[in-house]
Amino acid sequence: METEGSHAKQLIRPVIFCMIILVIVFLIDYYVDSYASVRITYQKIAQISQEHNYVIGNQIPLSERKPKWARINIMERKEFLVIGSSRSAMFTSENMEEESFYNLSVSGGSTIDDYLAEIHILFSQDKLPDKLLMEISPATFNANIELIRWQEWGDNTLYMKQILEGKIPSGRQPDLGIQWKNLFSPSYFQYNFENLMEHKRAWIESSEDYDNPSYLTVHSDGSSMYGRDYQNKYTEDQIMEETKNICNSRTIYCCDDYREIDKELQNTFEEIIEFLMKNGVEVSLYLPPYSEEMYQFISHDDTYKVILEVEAYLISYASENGIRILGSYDPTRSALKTKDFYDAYHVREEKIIDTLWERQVN
Amino acid sequence: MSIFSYPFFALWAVCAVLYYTIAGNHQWLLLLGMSLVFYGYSVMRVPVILILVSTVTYLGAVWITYARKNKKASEKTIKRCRRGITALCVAALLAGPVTGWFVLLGNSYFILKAISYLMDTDRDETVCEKNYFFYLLYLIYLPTILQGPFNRFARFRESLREKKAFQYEQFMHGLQRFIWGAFKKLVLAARLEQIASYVSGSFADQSGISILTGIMAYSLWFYTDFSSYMDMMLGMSGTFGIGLPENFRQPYFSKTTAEFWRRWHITLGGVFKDYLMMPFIQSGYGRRLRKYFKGYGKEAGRVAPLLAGTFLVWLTTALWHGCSVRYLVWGMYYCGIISSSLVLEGTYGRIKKRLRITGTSVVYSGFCMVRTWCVLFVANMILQAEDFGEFLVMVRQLIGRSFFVGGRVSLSALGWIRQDGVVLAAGLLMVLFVSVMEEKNVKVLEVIDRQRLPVRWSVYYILLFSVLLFGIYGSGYDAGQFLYMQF
Repeated sequence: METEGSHAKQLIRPVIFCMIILVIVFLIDYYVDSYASVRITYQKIAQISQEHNYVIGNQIPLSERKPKWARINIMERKEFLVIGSSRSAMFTSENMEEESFYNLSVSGGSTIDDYLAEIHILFSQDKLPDKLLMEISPATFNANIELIRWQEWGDNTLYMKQILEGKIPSGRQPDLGIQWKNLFSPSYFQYNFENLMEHKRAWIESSEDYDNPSYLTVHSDGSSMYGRDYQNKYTEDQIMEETKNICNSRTIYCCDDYREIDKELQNTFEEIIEFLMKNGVEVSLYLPPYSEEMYQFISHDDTYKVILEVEAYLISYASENGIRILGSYDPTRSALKTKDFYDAYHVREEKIIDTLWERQVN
Repeated sequence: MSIFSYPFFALWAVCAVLYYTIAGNHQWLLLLGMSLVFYGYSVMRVPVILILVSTVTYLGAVWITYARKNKKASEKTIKRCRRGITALCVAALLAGPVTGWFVLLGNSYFILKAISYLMDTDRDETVCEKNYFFYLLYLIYLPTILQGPFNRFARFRESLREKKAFQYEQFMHGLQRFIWGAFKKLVLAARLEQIASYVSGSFADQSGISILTGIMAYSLWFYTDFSSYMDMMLGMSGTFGIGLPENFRQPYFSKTTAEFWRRWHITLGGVFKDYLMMPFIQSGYGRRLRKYFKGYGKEAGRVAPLLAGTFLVWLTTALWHGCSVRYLVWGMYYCGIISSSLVLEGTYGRIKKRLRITGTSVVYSGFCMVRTWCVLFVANMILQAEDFGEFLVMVRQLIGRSFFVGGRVSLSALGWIRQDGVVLAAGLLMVLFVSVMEEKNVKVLEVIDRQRLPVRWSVYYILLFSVLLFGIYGSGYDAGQFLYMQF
């Protein structure tokens, strides 16, 4: 007859069996950690970035947004903030001559959904700045844009929309620290194992260097730079050739199916500005320039006339509302040449401040 | 609540521990609690149909037993009462798909179980249950609520008659069977679905060979999806020491269509046979049919009620699967095939005798299996085609010159890497191997049990890690959805 003691003995083997599986799963998840759940965590990145620059390995693309979100959670309020995409990521505390400064720009970050999320995170923690430089690229008003990285901000976009509608948002913010439950997720283990087979793992390193040959470097003030090798990859002729190809194939970044300024996005944009001004934020709009050849194409091609309409609208809006507007999509207004860009869209760091000229509006 | 979710596993684990420790002689109550939690979590509203059907059939069975025992009513009245309640249940069963109302999780399963219980009580094949809650457990017993199998009340009652003590081997076999089912569902069925969906997205653009691949994938998808659920639920029930009837017996090894339907969804076939076909054949209608057609010959008299019964069963089967023209055509197709086999049985026998074909010949068996697959493939084409026009397109692509011309199923077309193809092929071979073993009455789990520890653990680890590494999870895919849940 089976006794409780014999049951216990019998159960030892399956327990050991399961423990082995759990250990293997845990080790692989910990080592690879594709979503920065355990070994790295966004909270840890934020703590590193308080004092140091950090380099993100691009074997496995970690979220760019979550470390900045985690950083806002722990940093004190800054007087000057920049929000936008990689085209405004090189504004630094030094070149802007602002001590209390943070650059919240992220790749592909000039979408209304990104702005809603960022402003909600700041507002909910009482950290709205005194001054805000907001990059507005033409794609900001494209309803057919296919960027979805704003979803890394979680529900913050939704919460801000609710605030703008006069509702009180409710819900818990996710924890950006250790996510133990991911260790027991089969899909997480599967993804980590796939990356392991390709010899990939998530990694970041603190760094005192301003930049890195191969990888994205994020500075302590939030500004960031792509690897130097990438910035020096193309010659001027190659940039012109690449620009020509993009224009001929009509694949200008985030401008597919873009014929008119979307009214809903426009309304939301105006509501955001109104909200910021009501909360005492001095907003400046920044228009990042295209390369010379690309802008020439845009200004003569009917497919992209909406880009010129966006600039005209922003000038008019800024004028009516007493808002500073800096720069232009036209690079010649900033006296920029092809050699001042490292690809069709991004101005070199040494010339970035030249794009910040103030347009006189009546 | 998905069966591939932490809440489900937590519910199972907690119930299993309590079942063997503190439940004592009230294990059935714990199972009822577990089933109600699962049902309530999944449905999230008052299950009116369940309460109505369970109450009416419970009271009906009690009254029938009482009335018969105490001679309180005539047999005619009792029969009318039973028929009335059965009709009410059938109406409830059909009301959902026809009206779109009253569609409730598992209603096509628990309603049929309620009908079977009522009829078994009337026939004295089971004792009338006095405890309503035990009867409710029978209807919504968790492992059977979503897709069966149909368990007869007498057998269910017998399995819970005594307190279940923990039995290590039985428990482990239950877990192992669950994992085997998870492998079939997450690794194989998920991939087969992708092939079938890819082809069915645009039949007109596909070559005949691609359509054939799609139909084969669809057929295997159906089997792996449904049988995987059975493996998981029989495994789960096994961990509680409660055996459930098998619902599949290597159906693709069948040599005739009738045999296929004796090996596929076995318990549903049994319900329709025992509660529809046989009662009809033995009823006044059946006897009148036999008498009438006997005038055309003894054979005609024998076959006529069988044909009528077959028609009735297939009409009901079609309606049970769905109230639509597609299922009606599908049902009548099978009805026609099986009926013609019945009618031509004698002729086939004479031809085989003349050609000296014995049933045991490997070549002949192979021919019969291929012939059966062809019948099944046509049936699955009916299910896949949106309308008759699309069905004709499929036929044209299959038999015309476009058999090799047109779109092809390929790894790149499916968005697969080579690994996916290898995993699918290896997995199907494993299923084939296990099926062949079981066809020879070799219990694979027992064979594994007899091996040394390293061999046993290697098998278990390969299976488990196959599910973890090659299972299709993730966004856009709901692992907890099964094909037969729609019926």
